[in-house]
Amino acid sequence: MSWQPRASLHAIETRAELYEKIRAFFQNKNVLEVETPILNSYTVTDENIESIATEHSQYLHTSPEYAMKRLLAFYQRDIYQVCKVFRAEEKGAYHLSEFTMLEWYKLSWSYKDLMQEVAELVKALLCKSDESLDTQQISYQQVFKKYLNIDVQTASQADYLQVCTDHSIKLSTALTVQQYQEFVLDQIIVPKLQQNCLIFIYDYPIEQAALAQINSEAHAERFELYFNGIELANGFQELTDAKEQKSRFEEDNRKRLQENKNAIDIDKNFIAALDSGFPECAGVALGIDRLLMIMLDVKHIEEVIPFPSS
Amino acid sequence: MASYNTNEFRAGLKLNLDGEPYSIIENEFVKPGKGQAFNRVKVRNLKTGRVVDRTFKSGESVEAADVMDTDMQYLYSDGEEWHFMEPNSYEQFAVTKEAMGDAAQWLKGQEECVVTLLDGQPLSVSVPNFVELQITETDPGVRGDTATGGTKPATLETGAVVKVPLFIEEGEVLRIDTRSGEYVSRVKE
Repeated sequence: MSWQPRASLHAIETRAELYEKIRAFFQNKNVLEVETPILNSYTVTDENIESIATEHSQYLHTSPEYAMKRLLAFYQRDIYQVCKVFRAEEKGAYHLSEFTMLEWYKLSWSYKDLMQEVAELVKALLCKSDESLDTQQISYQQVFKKYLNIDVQTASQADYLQVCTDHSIKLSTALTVQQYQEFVLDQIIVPKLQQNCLIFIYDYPIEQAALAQINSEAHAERFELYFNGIELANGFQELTDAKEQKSRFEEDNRKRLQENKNAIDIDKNFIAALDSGFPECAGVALGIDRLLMIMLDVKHIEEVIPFPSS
Repeated sequence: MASYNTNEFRAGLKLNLDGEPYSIIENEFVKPGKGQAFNRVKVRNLKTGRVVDRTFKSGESVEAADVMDTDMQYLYSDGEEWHFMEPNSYEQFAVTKEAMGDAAQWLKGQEECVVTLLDGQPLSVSVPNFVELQITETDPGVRGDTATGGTKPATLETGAVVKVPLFIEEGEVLRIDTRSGEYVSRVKE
């Protein structure tokens, strides 16, 4: 019956225990728990993320990133947050319009340091005291080479299309090189990765930098964590340059207009915070519901949520 | 021409792909990292029955197949064609053996079915999920054997053959799930 909860009591109890462990983990490391607004005047410009707007011209946040970075800029402290975030038009076995995110930032850390801390936390949450999990780190370039013998530096749309055809995938329209890369990684490479192993893919193509710094080797200092085919976390060496950030947002808006999407006002407060002397830091966001799916061995995200958004 | 956005995709939706009518069987939403989202769907060709995989960019518009699902009552079969009537207009439609497919074996008369029309021509028929049919032939029942999982074949009044538990007797009326072709329960007269 529709009024009844979707998640089992066991799933709800497991979530409660998970939050306790997360809070203990960060308290131990002197990382401060913070709260930022769910309702905001600005939102993301990302061409692949659609915000939910209210009738009063405000947005439900799609991630607490900008507000947390304003706290970082002003108080210069390690912080974390567990919160509900919202994205329009996302619904599937691993996606819902309303879901729970854990996000944290470590000052003066590198993204490689942070990968290790992400592994430490996820192991602490997934493993019993006598168990452990293997960890693998593989660069974006290496993973395409290893599993598909593709050189991401030089591969063309035709090369990616051939890979899709070889895997019996028929796409309705042609994609850009970047879209092919994203699709092929998610749908062809990730299912081939070793099971029961925490796999970090790092150093993304610069077109996929999002809010990450770009290093001297022309890689975006970004990583993603995969476990048993599920994308669990996304982290950055956080961009500290306000000008560069603003021009990336403007580029997002150009892409949005090309795709017939509306342009989004750039968050002036976030840009001003970066401009105030933003500290070097690494940050990461982790999907709590997907982690629970792994812990409970269920196949649909709705099974870990009492009342999934319809 | 009517069209659907990928966010309207659901099982049963009829699409026109390369000029052929298809029905969605499964729809999977995938979104790589921070990237473009996709809908990976399994679709059945309504003419050939063949099932294929297609992948759409989420947000894409896809042309709707010009088909109409119409409630009709099954009247009779002459062995070549199966005849249905649209209850409001009393218009009758003849459905070929090919278009009937597996549906034919569950019908004895009077059932409310959904006939899918393409350009006004019957393309396929969906029978009710559950039908009640009498057994015309089966081996004698084994008394007391209600617990073990053994089954035997039973021929129904429409000619369909289903597996039934050993205790079932000739002449009994059964409830059948037409989607799986499986016995559900006995129907008390």
